[in-house]
Amino acid sequence: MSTFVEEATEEFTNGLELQDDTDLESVDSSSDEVDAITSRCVPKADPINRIGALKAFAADLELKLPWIETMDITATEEYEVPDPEDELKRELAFYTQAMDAINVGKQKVLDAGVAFTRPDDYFAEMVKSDDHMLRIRKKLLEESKSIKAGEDARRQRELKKFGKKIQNEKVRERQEQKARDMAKIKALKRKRSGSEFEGVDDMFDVEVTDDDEGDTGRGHSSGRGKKEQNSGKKRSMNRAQRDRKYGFGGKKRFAKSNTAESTGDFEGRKLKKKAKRPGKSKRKNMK
Amino acid sequence: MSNSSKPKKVATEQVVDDSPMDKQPTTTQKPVVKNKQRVLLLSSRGITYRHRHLMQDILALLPHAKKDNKLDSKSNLGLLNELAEVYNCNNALYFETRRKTDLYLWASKTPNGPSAKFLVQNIHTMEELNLTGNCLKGSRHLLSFDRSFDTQPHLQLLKQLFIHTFGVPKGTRRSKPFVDHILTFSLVDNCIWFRNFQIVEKDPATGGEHQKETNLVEVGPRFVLKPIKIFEGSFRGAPLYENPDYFAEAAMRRYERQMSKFQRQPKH
Repeated sequence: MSTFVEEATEEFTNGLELQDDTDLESVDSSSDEVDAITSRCVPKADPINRIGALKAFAADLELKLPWIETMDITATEEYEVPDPEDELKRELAFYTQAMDAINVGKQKVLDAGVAFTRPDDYFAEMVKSDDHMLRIRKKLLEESKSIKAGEDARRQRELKKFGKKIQNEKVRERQEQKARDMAKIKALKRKRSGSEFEGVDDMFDVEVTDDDEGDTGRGHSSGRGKKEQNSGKKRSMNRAQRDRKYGFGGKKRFAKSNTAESTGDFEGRKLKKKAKRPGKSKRKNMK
Repeated sequence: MSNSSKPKKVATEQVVDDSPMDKQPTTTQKPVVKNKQRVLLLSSRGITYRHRHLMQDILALLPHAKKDNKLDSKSNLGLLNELAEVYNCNNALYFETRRKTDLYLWASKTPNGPSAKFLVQNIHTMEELNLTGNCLKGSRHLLSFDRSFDTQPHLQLLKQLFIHTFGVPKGTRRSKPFVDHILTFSLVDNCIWFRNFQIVEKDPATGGEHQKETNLVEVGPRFVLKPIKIFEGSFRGAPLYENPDYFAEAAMRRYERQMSKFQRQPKH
């Protein structure tokens, strides 16, 4: 602690060396002040610890009664907690201490002829009310739910990344397919343009459909209605998905008007802080 | 035979539990030996809600405690001895609040002492801890102490004080049968850490009455006691022990504030 103080004062005085001479006076006075502050927080050289008296009082207080009257157990083992800030290890030490005490104490209680375990059908007022326990259970449930939701979201994100890849693949495949078809049609056209005496329309129609039998709907373009054309095509999204994506229903009015939250929200904008009113002596000097 | 009537009379007095008068006949005859402890539990004025909740949690755990109104006087703690006498109590737990932030706990053996003063830190009440444990209100508990409570003299004394105040005597009027929780006092970092665990005994899947699996589930509250001083008397008397590591909370805060001022200054 004292080294920290020394550092602080050193820094303080170093910083002030750059300033005017007039300020140096204040350095002396404040370093005195630092001393005064630190003197209050230095451990006492000879703290009171009257060991003999303490032991005598402890012995005097000790109850010379059967153990069952007090039910105290002092551990024989050492439970070391190297770092009190480390919650997990610290609590574990307390837990093991309690556990060991129970192992000893339960037998002692039973030996004294006193019931230890509470039967399941014994109901009485508890330290925490049912209401309180319900609240705790709810809280725990919520916590586990939020953890699960987080995991789901992460999995969904990863799937999305993967899904994108699949989508790209599909688009590419479709384009390739189209290019292949086009090439086929061109080749056919070239072939037809060579022969003059054939009924071009009929033959053309038949030949092409023969070629693309797998591709439903695309070949029968000319005379059919639009509705039928759509029904043959497989939709990539159903109604619900489309509604979710493009939006459907809900109120559209007042969507852009202010609400109570938005009025109080100054994100990005900084509010100017009101200047603090200077003290009376300063105000006097300003005049 | 005159001896046999004497201890009985003492036992009914309630306040006296372990006086020499009580012990003499124990050697000759089987007397009425009973642990008679009653604890007066009260706070000073200006207690905050958190401190009050902690006090209520402790009260719920101690069926032999009697809660009294807030004490108005800050200077004359000797009043507590008289109050304890009025309520037939031979122990007192007094929660003293200073500046509406710091909580001090006095544990005292009224009326003649000794007494100890602690700073209460790291307070977590049952209400705010979402711990799943629960126990019977007023059931007796085991008291578990760290090994250091046998080695250091001032802790030996504190252990006895805790046994008197936190231990529920057998046959206390409002106590319930069965032992379903345990209080632990452990010394870590020169402070006494308090924990309260529920003892859960469950049959393993194979299910035998004798082979029960014991588990612990914490109930709360949690707090840490930093010993400040131990006095000979009850709320008075010469000090027996003084914690060298303890500094007044307000002084520490002022120290930090002032030192931070010095550190900031050179930068502009």
